[in-house]
Amino acid sequence: MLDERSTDQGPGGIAQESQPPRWRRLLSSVPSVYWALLVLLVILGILSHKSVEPRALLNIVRQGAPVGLVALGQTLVISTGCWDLSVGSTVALVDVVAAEVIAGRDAWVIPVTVLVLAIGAFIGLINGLLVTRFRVNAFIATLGTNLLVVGAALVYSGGHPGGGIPSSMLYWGNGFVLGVLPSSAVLWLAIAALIALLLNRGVLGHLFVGVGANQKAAHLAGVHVDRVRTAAFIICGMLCAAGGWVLVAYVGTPTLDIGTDFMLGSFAATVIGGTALSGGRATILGTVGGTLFLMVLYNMLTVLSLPMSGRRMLEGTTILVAVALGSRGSK
Amino acid sequence: MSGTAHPRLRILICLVALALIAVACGDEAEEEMTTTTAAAAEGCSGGTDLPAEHSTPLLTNEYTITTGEPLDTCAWKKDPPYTIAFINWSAANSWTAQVNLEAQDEASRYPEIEEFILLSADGDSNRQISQMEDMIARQVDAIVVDPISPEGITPSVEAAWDAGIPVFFFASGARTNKYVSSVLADEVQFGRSQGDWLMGQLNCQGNIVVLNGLTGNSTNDQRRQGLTDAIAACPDGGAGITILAEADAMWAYDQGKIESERLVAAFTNIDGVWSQGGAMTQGMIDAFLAAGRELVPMTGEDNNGFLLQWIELMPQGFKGMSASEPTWQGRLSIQSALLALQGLPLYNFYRLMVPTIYEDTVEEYARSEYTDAYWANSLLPKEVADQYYLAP
Repeated sequence: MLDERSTDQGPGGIAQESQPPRWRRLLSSVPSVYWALLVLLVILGILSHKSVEPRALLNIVRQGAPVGLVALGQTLVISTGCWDLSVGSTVALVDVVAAEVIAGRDAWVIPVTVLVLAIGAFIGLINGLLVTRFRVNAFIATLGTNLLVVGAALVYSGGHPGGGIPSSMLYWGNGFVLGVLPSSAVLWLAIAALIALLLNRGVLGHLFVGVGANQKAAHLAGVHVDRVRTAAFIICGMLCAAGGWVLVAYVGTPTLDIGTDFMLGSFAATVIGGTALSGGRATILGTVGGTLFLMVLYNMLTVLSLPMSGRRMLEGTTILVAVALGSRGSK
Repeated sequence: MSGTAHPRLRILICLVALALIAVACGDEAEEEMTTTTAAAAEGCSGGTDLPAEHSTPLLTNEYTITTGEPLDTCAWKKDPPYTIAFINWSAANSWTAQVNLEAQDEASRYPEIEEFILLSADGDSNRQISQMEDMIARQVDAIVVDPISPEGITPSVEAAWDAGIPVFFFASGARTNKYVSSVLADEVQFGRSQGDWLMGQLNCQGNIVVLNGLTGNSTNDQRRQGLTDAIAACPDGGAGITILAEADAMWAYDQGKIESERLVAAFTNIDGVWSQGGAMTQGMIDAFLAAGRELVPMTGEDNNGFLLQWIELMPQGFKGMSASEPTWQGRLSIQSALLALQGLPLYNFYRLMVPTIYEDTVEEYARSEYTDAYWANSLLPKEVADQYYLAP
C-alpha cells in the first residue's frame, strides 16, 4: 500500500516531504471496498434491522467462507498476471471426493483433508505447467483444466456422488467457535490473515506482485517467473480445495453441481476488493472485503424481494459500480 | 433483329428446361420414396386405435391424466435392432442422475434396443444442440430428449424429423410440431397441489415466503403459477395471504439454506413456506432450527433427505407435504419410442399427474437406508437402488 505524500517548500526553497496525519494515513490504507460495504450495511439495516443484528451478520460472514477461500486463491493468481477459471470445478471435485472417501467416518477426516489439499495442489500444478512450460494462455489453459476436472468429478462419482460427512467435519461448516463465531468464518479469516502476513512481510508477496507488474523486469532482476506463477496456481488450487472442503462440511452431502458460481464470485470479490485484473497489485484485505460486500449485497437483494430480473440488474450494476470505484481508488 | 434467339437466351432457356425436368423427376422420386415407405410399412396395422395389448402399463397408468391425439406411427416402423439416443439436460443433480438410472434400466429390458446412447448436456443448451446433431449424423433410430431451451433445440428437432428420425420429449418440449410424442408432468398442478395444501394449513391467512428454483425456467414458472392459482382460489381471493419475499435457490440445498438464512433473519413473521424443491426446503428447515424459530408448514419434493427430515421432525409438530416430479418420465418416452418404431399406435402427448405425499403416507416413501439423494417416487429395482443409494 502506498503512503500518501505531499511536498512543501522548506528553507532555501528545497522541497521537503510532509506526511499527512496518522489517522488520515490509516483511513487511506483501508481498501475502498470497506466504505462501500459500510454503505450497503446501512441500507440493509434500513430495509431490515433484523438483518444487521450480530447473529445475522455472523451468518453473512459464514456464508462468505467457501467463496472467500476460493477468492483468496484467485487473488494470488491474478496478482501474477494470470487467471484461473478452474476454481469452481476444483471445488466440485473436492466435494465429491471428500464425501466418498470419508464415508461418514470421523477417523478419515484428517487424512482426507490432506488428500483434497493434495488434489487441489495437483490441479494447480497442472495449470502452472500449462501456462509456464507449454506457454498456453492462462485463460485457455485453465478453461481446459476446468473441463477436465468437471469430467473427472463426473467419472469419479459416476453421476451419483455418494459417501457422507461425519459430525466432526460438519462442525466446520455449521458449528461455532466459543459458541458464537461461525467456525467456517474463523477458518477463512485465519487463513486470510496468514496469507496476508506472508505476502506483506515475506518475499513471496513481492515476487507475486513483481511478476504481475512487469514480468520482464522481474526476470531481469533474477526472479524465476515461471516458478512464481506455478506457485501461485498451486496455492490457489489448495485454497479452492479448502473452499470445497468447507462447502461440503456446510451442505453435509456431496453434490456435483456445487461450486459452479464460485468462478465468477471469486473474480468479483477479488476485483471489487481492489486487486488489479492486469496483475501487479493485490490486496488480501480487499478480497476479504469484496467477499463480504457480495454477501451483504445478496442479503439485501433477498430482503428487497425484487423480481429476479430486477434483482440481477441491480446485482450487476452494483458490482460494476463497486469495481469502477475500486479501480479509481487504487490509481 | 434476327429471327433466331440470342445465344445467351438459348442457354437460359435450356437451363430453365433442365430445372423443370429436375423438379419433375424430383417429384417422381419423392412419390416413389413415399411409395417405398408405404411399401416398407406393409404389415403395419396403421390407424390410430390403441388396442389394449399394444399399450404399455406406464402409458396408461393412473398418473396419465390426459392424452393428446392418437398417432399412426407406420411411417416410423422399422425392423430391430434399434439404436436409441437419450439426451438429458444434466447429470449433475440428483434428480437428473436418477432419471438417467431409470432410463438405463428401462432400456436394458428390451432386447430390441441394441445400443442405448445416454448423453447429458450439463445445462448447456448449445451442447445439447450439438449432441442432437451428432445423433442425427449417426442416424440413430430414435431420439429421446429433455430440452434445456425449447426455442434453441427446435431447429435440431426439425432436422431430425427431416432426416427420418423420430423425436420424443419428456419433462420439456420444443417450439415445433415435428416430433412424435411428449411426456410432461403437470407442473402447474405440482405448484397448485403444494399451494392448496399450504393455504389449507394457514386457512388462507398469513405470511409466506417462496423458494423458487430458477425464475424464467418454464418448469419453475409453471409451478409458481400453481401457487398463484391456489392463493386466488382462497375464499377471499387471496387477500389474507402476504408473500413476504421470494428467492431463487436453484433447487439446491446449499443455496436454499443460504437464501433461507437471509429470509429468516429479515422476517420474523413467517407463517408458512412454499418451496418447489425438497433440498431447498431442507435448507429452510435447518435455517429455522439454527435461528431457534418454531417450524412452520412447508412444502417440498420427494427427495429422501427432505422426507427423512420431515419424519424426524413430526413429533415436534412439523407439518409438511411433497409433490413429486417423477424420475421415471424418461421411461415413458423410451416406451413411446419403441411403440413408434414398431409401428404401433400411441398418443402424441401424455400429461402426468403429479403424485403427492402427505403426513399419512410419507413413511411409505422415505427410505432410511438410502442417502438423501434418492428420489422416493421411483421405479428403480431394489438391486439398482441399493447399488447407488445405500447410505454408508
